[in-house]
Amino acid sequence: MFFTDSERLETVRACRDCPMCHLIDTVAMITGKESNTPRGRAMVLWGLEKGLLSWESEGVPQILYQAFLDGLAQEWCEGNFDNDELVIDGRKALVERGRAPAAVSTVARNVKNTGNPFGLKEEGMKALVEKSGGNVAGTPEVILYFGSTARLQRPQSARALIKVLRSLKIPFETLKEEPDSGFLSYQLGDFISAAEQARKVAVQLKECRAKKFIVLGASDYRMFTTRYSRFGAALPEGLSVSHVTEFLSRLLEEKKLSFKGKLRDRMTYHDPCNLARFTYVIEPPRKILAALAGENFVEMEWHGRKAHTCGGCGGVPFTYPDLSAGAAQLRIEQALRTGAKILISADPSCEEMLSRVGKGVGVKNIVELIADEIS
Amino acid sequence: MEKNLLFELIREELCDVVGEENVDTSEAGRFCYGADYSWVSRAWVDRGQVPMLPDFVASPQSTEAVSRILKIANRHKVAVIPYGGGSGVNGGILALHGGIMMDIKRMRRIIRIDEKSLTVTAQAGTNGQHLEWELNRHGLTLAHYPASEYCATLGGYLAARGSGTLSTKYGKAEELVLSMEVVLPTGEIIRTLPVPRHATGPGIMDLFIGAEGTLGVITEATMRLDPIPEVREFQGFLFKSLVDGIEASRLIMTKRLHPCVIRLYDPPSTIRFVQKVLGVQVEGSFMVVGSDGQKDMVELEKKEISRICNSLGGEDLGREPGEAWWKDRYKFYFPPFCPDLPEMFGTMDTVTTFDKLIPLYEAKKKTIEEGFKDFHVRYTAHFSHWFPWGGMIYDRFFLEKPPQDPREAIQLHNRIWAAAIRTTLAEGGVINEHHGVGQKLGYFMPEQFGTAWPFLVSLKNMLDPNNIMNPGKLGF
Repeated sequence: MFFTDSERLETVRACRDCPMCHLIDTVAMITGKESNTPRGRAMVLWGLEKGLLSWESEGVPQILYQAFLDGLAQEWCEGNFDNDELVIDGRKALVERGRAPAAVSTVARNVKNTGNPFGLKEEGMKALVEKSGGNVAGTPEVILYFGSTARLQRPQSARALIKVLRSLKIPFETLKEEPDSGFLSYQLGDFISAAEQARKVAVQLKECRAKKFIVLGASDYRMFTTRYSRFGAALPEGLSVSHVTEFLSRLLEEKKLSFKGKLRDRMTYHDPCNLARFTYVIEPPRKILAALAGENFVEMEWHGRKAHTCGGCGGVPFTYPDLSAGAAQLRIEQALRTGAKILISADPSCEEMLSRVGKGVGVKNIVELIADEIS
Repeated sequence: MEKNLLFELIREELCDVVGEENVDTSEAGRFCYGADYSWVSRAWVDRGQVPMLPDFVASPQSTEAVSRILKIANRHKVAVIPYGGGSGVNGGILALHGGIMMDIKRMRRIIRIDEKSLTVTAQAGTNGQHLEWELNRHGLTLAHYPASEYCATLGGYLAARGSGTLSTKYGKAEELVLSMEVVLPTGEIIRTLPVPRHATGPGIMDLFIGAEGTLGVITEATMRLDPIPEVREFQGFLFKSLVDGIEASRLIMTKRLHPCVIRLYDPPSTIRFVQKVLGVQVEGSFMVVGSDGQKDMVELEKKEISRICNSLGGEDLGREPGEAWWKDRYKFYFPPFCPDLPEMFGTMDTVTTFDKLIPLYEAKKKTIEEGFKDFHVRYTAHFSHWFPWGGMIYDRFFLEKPPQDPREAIQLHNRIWAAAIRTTLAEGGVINEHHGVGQKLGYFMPEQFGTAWPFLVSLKNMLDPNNIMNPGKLGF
């Protein structure tokens, strides 16, 4: 869907023989296997293309689903080949043939039945807002989208966003019953579920009054801004979409947002891959952190467009959770090397992954930090 | 290997050593090891032919595990192929007889950095660039920058007797290594002397360096390091003729200057690579010369190099093209900038003394371009690794439209190669400087080694009585 046949073939041909990005693939770093490199994945896809392997061949689903799809291979590639999209294309073919891992159909079922991939029953958006202190009176200026992870696994980030808007006296609205954005389904190759979710969100957005759409999650933001129209779910005309860090850094620039003082704890920042590499949101969180922490904000060696994954992408937490934990551990080690006591990110999924293994460093969403320090 | 009871028993034994998650017998998992960076293996798969696959992929994490795997292989008489980055260009890792592909990339521990003696000890599966980054954090460098640095392993550097782009000053892998731990084909673990300079018998290390895993598995190595130089600068020169460029290089080396690199392109490769990748629009023979170290020493060396180049008509292009080459030195090896299928190509590099460099270059060019003119084969070369006594010709052939039939294509590839190698040997060169032998060039080993070849065969038979170590490679 995102590749034409000729683009797909050109990418398979380029990647199947090329070992030049071996060193930056986090799965390959963990397992040490050739099959877990971008080259290995492309080699398998070439084997399928030429009939040297079949979709029923043992190992095909494992190889294609053991990939973080974090964009680092393309960033590293001098030829700019998109190995990740190639893998998603392969996953789609596996889904269509009923050969995807069981976790993929579990996610699809959960999303259909509960609106989130975890299969958890939710109290509803009204309850979430009320429990976070309630809305601000007035015509809504912004629409908030929290995302499944923030609603269910990292509610502190959702509550923090509401607290910040209440402090700034910005009336907001939410979708009536926030559907999952469909990003996870897209990454897992389940394009039918992804399109269905996308349409549900687009329909609800049309019913909203505000024209500014503020997204808390990085993957959801990427999905809305770069994938929705391709899934046949164009966002309403005139709606401007911002990641929460873009929105808040603008308020900071306009001096509408200020802080009590500078934080004393050393902190570092993990760039979510869906912000730094896919939507190029790199500077807004840094502007906020500079204002909050000044010189106590330090960069990790691998940051910005070259940031390593937290292990939360590519649907791997659902298909191969041990690999995700391994990647999160590597990222935590990189954070610890900076001497930071706090690891900040700007995506609840990243924070969820990192906090699961993050001994020795506190993990927080940047909005939580703002909520604590807003003056 | 048939998936019979013996297959299951071997699999179970391997799982017992490295754990089930580190033994892959799946069709797709093994398929990923069906080709390396060699043209023949890639073309074979490209044309839809079934590659030679291992029966098992096992990923050990320790020397002891390597030893146990070799004992299993000996007991069952199955082949073992040590696998690092898979960047070899002569089919050195092809599983010609099935067996166990031993992927060593989990052996990636950097054991010790000695900042006093400037050495590092690391496991053989450590990625070259990962090692370099860690050393850089300590202000140190291995100064080994092969084109394969992003994927190759420390063990691969040594097993293939590799060179980096700065080998002219810092030496080839065999000059950087101080000691090694090796597992012999029968599973015994040995350690070479702690330092390589001694008068206590032959140097055992040399047996395993460049042996491409046919005589044992390198599991750990201690390497010499250098401090990161205060300055490293590159200059570009343009010579009207290749002969003048080679003479300038000879003078630089025989005056015992110590440039970190002299990279001289012949006119066709100046057009094909320098213009295409670097965007430097020049015609003639382009040269990059690098100097590094203390600033004042570098200035002095650069001055003398410029004087030599100018005296031979070399036009000083300044620092920009030289620095661009250094910055983009690996870009040449990414698609679409690298030689790639469907084109047919091969790198047939050689080394010889200064007096034979030009005759050898001209003889090989003639052999390729005239001998295969019906196929419109083109020949390019650059000269990039220099020694006090001579230099290396990094030459390649290109054929834009090779035969479609894979068998015909491979026959032609081998014929071109054989003609080039026999010219090399006749003109006083050696088969190559750092691209190894693998399967592709194995059958030339008796010709290259002559009377010494039976000695090497006896050694192989003694060390590896069941011929399990990477069979079909290096002529064994």
